[in-house]
Amino acid sequence: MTEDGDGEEKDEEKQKLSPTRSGGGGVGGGSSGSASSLSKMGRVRGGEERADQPPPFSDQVLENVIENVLEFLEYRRDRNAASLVCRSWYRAEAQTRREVFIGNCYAVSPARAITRFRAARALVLKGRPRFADFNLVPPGWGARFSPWVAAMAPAYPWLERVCLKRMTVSDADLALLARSFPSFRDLTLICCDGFGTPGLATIAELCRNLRVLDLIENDVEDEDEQVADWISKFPEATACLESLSFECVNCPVNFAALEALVVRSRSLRRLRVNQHVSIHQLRRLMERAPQLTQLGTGSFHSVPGAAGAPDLDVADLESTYAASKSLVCLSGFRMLEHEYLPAIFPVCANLVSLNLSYAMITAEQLKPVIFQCHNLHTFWVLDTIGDDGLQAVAKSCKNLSELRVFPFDASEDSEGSVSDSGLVAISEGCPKLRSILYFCQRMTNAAVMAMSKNCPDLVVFRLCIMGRCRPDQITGEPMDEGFGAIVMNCKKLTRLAVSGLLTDRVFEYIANHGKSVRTLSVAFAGNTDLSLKYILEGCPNLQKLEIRDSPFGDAGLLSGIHHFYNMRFVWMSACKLSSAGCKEVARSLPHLVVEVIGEWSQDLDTDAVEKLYLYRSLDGPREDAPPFVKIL
Amino acid sequence: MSPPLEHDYIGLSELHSPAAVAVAVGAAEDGALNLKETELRLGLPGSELPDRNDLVGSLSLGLLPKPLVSGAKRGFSDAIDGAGKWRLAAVGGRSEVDAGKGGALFSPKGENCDGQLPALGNAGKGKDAVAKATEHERKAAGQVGIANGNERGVAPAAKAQVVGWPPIRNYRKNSMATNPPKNKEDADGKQGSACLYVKVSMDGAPYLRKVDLKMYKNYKEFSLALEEMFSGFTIGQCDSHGIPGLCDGLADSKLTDLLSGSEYALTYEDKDGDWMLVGDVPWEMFTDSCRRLRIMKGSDAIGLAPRAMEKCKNHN
Repeated sequence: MTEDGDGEEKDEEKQKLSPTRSGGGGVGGGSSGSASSLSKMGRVRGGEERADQPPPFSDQVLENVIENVLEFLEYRRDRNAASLVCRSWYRAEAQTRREVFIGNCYAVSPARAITRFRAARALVLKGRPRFADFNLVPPGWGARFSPWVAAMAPAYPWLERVCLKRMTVSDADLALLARSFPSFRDLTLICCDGFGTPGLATIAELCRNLRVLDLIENDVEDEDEQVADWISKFPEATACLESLSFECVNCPVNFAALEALVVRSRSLRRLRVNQHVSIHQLRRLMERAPQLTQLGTGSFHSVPGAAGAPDLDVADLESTYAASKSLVCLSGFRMLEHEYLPAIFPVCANLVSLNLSYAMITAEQLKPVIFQCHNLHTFWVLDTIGDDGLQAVAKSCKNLSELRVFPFDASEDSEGSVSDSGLVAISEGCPKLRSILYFCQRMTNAAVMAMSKNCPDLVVFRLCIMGRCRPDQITGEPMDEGFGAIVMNCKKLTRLAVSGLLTDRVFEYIANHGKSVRTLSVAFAGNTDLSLKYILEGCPNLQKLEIRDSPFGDAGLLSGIHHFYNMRFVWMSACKLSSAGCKEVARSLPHLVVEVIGEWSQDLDTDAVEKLYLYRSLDGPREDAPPFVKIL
Repeated sequence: MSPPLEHDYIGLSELHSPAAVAVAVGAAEDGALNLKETELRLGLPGSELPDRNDLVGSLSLGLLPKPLVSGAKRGFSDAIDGAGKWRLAAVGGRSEVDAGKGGALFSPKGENCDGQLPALGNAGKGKDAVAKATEHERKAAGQVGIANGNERGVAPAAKAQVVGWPPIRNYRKNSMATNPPKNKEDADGKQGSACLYVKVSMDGAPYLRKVDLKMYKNYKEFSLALEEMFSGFTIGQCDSHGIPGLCDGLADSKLTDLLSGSEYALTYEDKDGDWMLVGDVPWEMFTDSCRRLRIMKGSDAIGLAPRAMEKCKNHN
């Protein structure tokens, strides 16, 4: 599952933003002489204009050698480091980078990225700030894919893969994508919007080599008349599909076409269908594709009286599951009829990942399943299972690495089914836990401390106490000590989200101990600017800071001036910022784009800053800012 | 009785003259304007919706600049004096939860609220106050709607919803909302998370908005919220009409200004894909079946609006 995988992110190209480079990006090296010597190494350089002198011959050889070596470098961080060694390495690395990751689409213009990385085959692009998921960013803010695809179309004829997160992609963009890149194989859209089934139809029809079409949590909207039968647009000849996920496409699909597609795609490994696929249909698909490794089950619900089909017997479904020997990842269960849940027993022992977070099941319904899932690494579930269910998980899933407990009733005064005891149980049963997202109504410092001690490998700790500013349930104290223990004991922690009643103290703890923290989410916390000062001065690796509804003002913000160039972004909304402070930041840091966002353009004339979003950029303020955004 | 004033579907009376506008602001009663008589109500013909007189003042909520803040809020702030903290929070602070953020011009960010802000300064207490008085922000600008709830004698909810809190993605919220709660009894009878976002488009607006239907209890709250949301679009146009005086804090609804002479109708697309006029069915049924909203204008609306006007005539 790739929902919100920010926790595992690596740095973006930090050196692109160092001020010394700002004038020199994208300059290549080498001459036509190098082109011929390279050709026997299988690399073709097209006609490229070089602005500087070609290096002397021996340097050329070295550069060729370096290029061949650098081709083996995969991780961004390694590549970024290599490109900083000298100009020669910079050029070599730029020529060999296959996947370009841009964590903030406004940090660099498409032209600049394309000029530097001429041989890219894959683009990963992230747009809106994460708080846009929670309606804090007005629609129309930006992050459009159009300029990118328009720039790439002539420049990257060999483009194979595009992965977008929180961007606005139109049907026209998808059409341009489909037409411009004959080798295109892999499209992944996460939390995007702006497109509908017509765009998908174009992709299906024109991308002959499509292997992966993963649509994850997008907002797929269709005008009434325009709903397209996109599944049937996959040509008969397309048989190389490996992954198809369309859970977020909310209209019914042509099942016959889907079935035919599954039948002819012998390489299909991942299939995630939407909730319009009934359990009968799911069974047929599974029978056609017993080689699946990942399955999104759709509704897991029988449509009553569907075309005279008799009710599906659980045993029959179970035998189908038994035949899917390769299944390791299950999700879906969008409208689960829990009588059918036992059908998945045959695959439980092999499951590495199970997502029941759309299924309202109780602990009693969960237990028979979870007691067989000994190999589970990733488990997403609704809090309807309660502490009891969590205890069952703790008892059974000793290898659990990632747990997410979502609230069934996401309001502040609901009763809440999971609590501190569930958290403690998990910590005691799953010592290998690395990532947790836990929504609850009440929590205690003791429980959080227990988790910090029992699960020292934690990399991601996100605790959301849904009642704002709720103190420790038992002692009535702020939750400072609990989160403090987390940063003290979990030395590998890179991502932290805090909640509950919190004073400046917790931020002091984070500053003193959370040296590896890269992402920090703060809401309704802190007392004074000291909190912000602590974090910005004390966390050298901090890259993404998102704060809402906390009493931090200009003094706190200004204490981060030395660090903002090292960060991907800072988001502050409903804090105590004023335009004077924000302007001061903008003045001090010319390569920082400081956006003040209001609901309407009139909001921006006042002194108070409602929403601040700042990020570094090589190419200055963007030109597509809507009227409700003011760039200082 | 004065001749029925032209009105739009939302039920706002047309107030043409500044004097009339001032009266509307100043007075809770409709007086000579017979606002109550002439206003269009959303609902079945013959059904009597609660009095909207005291809401007249509130209609201007979205539109007044700072100086008139207190005056404009008089309409309902009187009624909820018992919940005094609400007013504090509404006027003060820059929180997302601030009710005052609702309207385009209604942004008392500066002068009026600073004096009161320290009252909210204390962490625990202040946050409680804010929390108690929290309203949904303008996206589903229900703060006026919830205020209306207050003035009918309903105590403010212990904690009304805040934008984006708890931090659950819309995708998940909508998925849970549309699933039938099959195991309701197993889940201790809890309702699914109360959130249902639908798009709202207005002809001529540069971009769409999304609104959470579950935030409102009835058509009235909803229509007020919509008016808040879309009045911003008309402000610029008002300016271009060369009547800045009208924009400068007179308590008229900008929407009605623009709508004078043209007809708007609020329509929605239901589950069957048909476009229906909002207001015909009970509110619950409407929220269940509404997929999308559109504020139609001009010729498209002609077929619909007169029917609405007839309803109003029935009330007279």
